[in-house]
Amino acid sequence: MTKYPNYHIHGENSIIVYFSKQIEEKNLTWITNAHKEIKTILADNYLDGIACYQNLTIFYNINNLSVTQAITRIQQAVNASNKDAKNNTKHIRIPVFYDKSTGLDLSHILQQKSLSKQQFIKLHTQQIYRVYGVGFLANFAYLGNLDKKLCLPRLTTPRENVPAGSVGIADCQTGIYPTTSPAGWHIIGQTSLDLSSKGNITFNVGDYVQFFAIDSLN
Amino acid sequence: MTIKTFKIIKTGISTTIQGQGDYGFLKDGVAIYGALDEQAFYWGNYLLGNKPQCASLEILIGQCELLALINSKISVCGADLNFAINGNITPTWQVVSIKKGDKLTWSRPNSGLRAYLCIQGGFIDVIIKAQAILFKNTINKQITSFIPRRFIPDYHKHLVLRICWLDNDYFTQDDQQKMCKTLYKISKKNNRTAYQLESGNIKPKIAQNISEANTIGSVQITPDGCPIIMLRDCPTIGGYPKIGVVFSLDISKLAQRGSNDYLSFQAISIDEIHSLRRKFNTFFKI
Repeated sequence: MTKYPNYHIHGENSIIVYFSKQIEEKNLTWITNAHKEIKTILADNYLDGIACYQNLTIFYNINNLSVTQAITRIQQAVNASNKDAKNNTKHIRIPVFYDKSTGLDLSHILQQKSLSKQQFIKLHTQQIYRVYGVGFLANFAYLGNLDKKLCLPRLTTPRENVPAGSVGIADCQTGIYPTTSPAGWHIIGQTSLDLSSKGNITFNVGDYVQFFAIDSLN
Repeated sequence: MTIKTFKIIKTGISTTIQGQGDYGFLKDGVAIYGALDEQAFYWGNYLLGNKPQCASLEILIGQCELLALINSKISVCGADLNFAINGNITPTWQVVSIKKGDKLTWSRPNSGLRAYLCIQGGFIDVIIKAQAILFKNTINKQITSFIPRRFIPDYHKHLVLRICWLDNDYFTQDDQQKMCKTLYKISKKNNRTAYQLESGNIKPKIAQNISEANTIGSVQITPDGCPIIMLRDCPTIGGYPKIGVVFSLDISKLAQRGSNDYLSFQAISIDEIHSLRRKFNTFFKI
């Protein structure tokens, strides 16, 4: 039986911490708090960190810390961190225009799942999602979990280009493409919000996100 | 204070301003970026007495032409792309004086892929609009004229990438040994994001794992068994299992190889990696 959390060499100057075997929503708070503690303990030797699902990768200054020293300090910080203390998570609401014109895959998904558009919208919007990871593109947030009725595998062939603001679903996740991009997820609508670096919404792991339907993109 | 340095007459295949790369934005999904061949980049700055953070111009393959707008001192390190001033082939890996009106060209590779143009003070910006102009800071420092030949790498030499194995459940010792016994060919899919290798002979125990951070040098194995080596522009997170991580200074060497070049892997411990990298960091004051 593997014990959690556990610590491993991840890269030349990075250590990865696994908090559990599977993804667990309740651990998002712990991971965020642990990350804060690690920043404090490592101080100037902390370079960067990426929290993602059930893991956290810490980049450290190898000029001043050996692997053993880095792992020891990171472990101390994780042990000292509070699993439940509330932190500054944001609640973000995303307006979405669910329509065939912007949701290129919406029609065939409704057919495949035997859902009306209203039923689909209800299932997508009633869920309060958590940000499990940010990556692939700047400000692309992996949101989970989709209602089981909406889960489906990725496209076998990704699209070369989807417009900025496209809302997608794949596996049991949903997400929004902040900029024009190739996309392997099914596109079901579009947001009017600017999620690129020019906008002012940043997703952080642990944040709460909810979608709501709008009548048009104007 | 900033100064106009060059007018860009021909951009070339892919010419970008690259510094050391930046940590601090990975959580937003922004890669580290920075000069792919760190060895060439840091020597280029060292020769000019520049701070190690000074940005260079990374010139891939060639077809690049610049017009000097000032008198200054420059260095060109990294690949031999037939660097010439006013049509005269000019030595690389040393400090060279340029005059206003000089035409600098990089045509095509003799050896290596990426050349680094450094200037006293470092590049800081490029304005595209009406004309593409490069800018630099004003700093004048003690310069080193040239570096001993033994520090100039041979990009034709067979490339051995030193790899530190990761301890996860996805690969066996057999996989590691197989990887070290295989001669891999660099596929056409190679760029600043990643280098994909041909010959998929490693079968990980799972096709995809729960996504986690990528880092420079991460070697992911795709479902068809091909190793992909992550570079400085790679996606910040990824879901393919990782077998190991390549030593950063060997990534610098990899950046000077292209499709149809061959390479092999050799195991190295993380402590050896740290020892070698620290020596490098101490010398260049990083």
